Amino acid sequence: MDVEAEIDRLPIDLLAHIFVLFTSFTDLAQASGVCKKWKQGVKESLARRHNLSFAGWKMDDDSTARLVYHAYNLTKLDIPRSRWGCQITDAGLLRISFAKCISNLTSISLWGLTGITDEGVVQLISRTRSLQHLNVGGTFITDESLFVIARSCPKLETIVLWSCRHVTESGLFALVDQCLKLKSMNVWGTRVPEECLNNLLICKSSSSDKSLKLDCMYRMAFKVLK
Amino acid sequence: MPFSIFFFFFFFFFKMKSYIWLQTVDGSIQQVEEEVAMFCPMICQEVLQTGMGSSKNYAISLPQRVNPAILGLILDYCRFHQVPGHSNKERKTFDEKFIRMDTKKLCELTSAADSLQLKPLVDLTSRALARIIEGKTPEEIRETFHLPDDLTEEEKLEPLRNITDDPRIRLLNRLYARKRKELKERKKLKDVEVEEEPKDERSVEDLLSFINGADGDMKGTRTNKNKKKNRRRKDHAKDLSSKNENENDKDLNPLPSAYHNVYFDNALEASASKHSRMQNLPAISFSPKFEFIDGDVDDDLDPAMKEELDREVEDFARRLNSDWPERMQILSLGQDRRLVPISINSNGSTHLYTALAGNSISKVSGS
Repeated sequence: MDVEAEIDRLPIDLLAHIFVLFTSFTDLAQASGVCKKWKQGVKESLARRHNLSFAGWKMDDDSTARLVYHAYNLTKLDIPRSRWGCQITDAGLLRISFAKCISNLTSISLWGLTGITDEGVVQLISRTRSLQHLNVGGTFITDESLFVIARSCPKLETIVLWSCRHVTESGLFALVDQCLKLKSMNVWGTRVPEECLNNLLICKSSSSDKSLKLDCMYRMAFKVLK
Repeated sequence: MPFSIFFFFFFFFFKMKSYIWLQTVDGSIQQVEEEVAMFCPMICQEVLQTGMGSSKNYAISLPQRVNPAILGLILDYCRFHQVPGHSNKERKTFDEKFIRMDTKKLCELTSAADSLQLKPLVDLTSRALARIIEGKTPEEIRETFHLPDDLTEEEKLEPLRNITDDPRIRLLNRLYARKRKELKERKKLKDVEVEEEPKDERSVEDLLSFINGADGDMKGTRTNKNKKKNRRRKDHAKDLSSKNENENDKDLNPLPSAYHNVYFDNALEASASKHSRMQNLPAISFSPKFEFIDGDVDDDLDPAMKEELDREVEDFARRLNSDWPERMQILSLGQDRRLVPISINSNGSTHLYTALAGNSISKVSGS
């Protein structure tokens, strides 16, 4: 090739900026197979991302962990259940928990990941320091995870426990007691009795000035207690 | 007098347009309206920090990546966008028209806008480039942007990181795995053959007599040896295919059995560079390297069956010779016999068609 390609003159950071705009992981994979410079550009583009969502993709432990490792400026991580079924396990969450970005994450969604248990969630959540929004709806977590969330996430504002059928009132009380910034909690489909939820709201109102939005299976709308 | 001074200052500040002088890398100097030039953060910074650009002698030197043609485009963009009156729809329409240019110019513009720290334009051109790249294979990207292919053969045969569980990538990975395995097996086979090859300790006289055809026995043994070699190769190919079948029994094997043949390497090599499109599966090209490996099919046949086959062959030869003049006449009319690609049957056997142009098709079949 006599004449150097025009796009080849672009500095790597500019290439990375272009790759950040890709909406598909397949396109990223293709771009990394073009040449060595582009491969580096793809890595840098992952490092620039603040938001990584695997919604609609069939992910497994290995590929998810590898991408999260490269994305060390991440603040939002979204790994929901895809239409192909759950591929992420506790082993994947353990690997993800060692990534650089975990301590900076403000939002994590593990919605519908039926392959994960308390073991994986505890490993991941115990390494977060800045978490404000957590979605663990549709998983099989128990109070063990909630106790760790309560201890590790003092900045937690919203939590979704939709259909977490193994969660009890003691776990919820721990959350309300220790997460002083908690504003919203979705407990639809849990087996926690209504009286306990009422007690929870009373407990929250006495311990904090802030209100708690409690979205639960017995009420069709948010109950807000000032 | 004071009134005239006041009028002069009023005229100078409010009526006269102020300009900034810009110098591109080729040395040409342009005079640009201040409000347009100041839309570029880099120029704005230069003016405020160093006071440059006020005259032709103190022109602001623009970065190397900004040539006069591209500067013109950038200034057009700035002229439109620095006017506050435009609606979002107007801006969007302008932007869409503005980026309708060839990829070379688009790359130059992205680079220049980046060096002038003009973020809105960088975003606009980057988005346009991203749209061009999206949905293309590595080969198509290289073709579009004239990029070098500096990835090694090993890197190309590496399994693709199948982030999205794309079935096309899975298929290719399986193909690459098979290719790598076959290469290894062939290397092993070569090594074994090298070890097995007996040293030729015959004298020069013996060799000469053998060449002249005196030693009939030797010739016979040689052909046997070749047959053995052939059989070994054939068995090896069978082993390979059966191994691969077992290996991939979790997924349905997407490739017909003909692909397992060791002698289709060329075709596989041709496909190795095609990274992720299903339609890029290798088409088996008919190359001089191709050889039939069923030369010794009738070795272990029943003698009666052999006789029958011989009779059929003789009969066929007789018929062939009887209408040979007619065939020669057809050929002399300039209708060449040409090769048509191999077709692969559902049962995995290959059919090689050779056709007289526009006439009958004779079929050679080998499973």
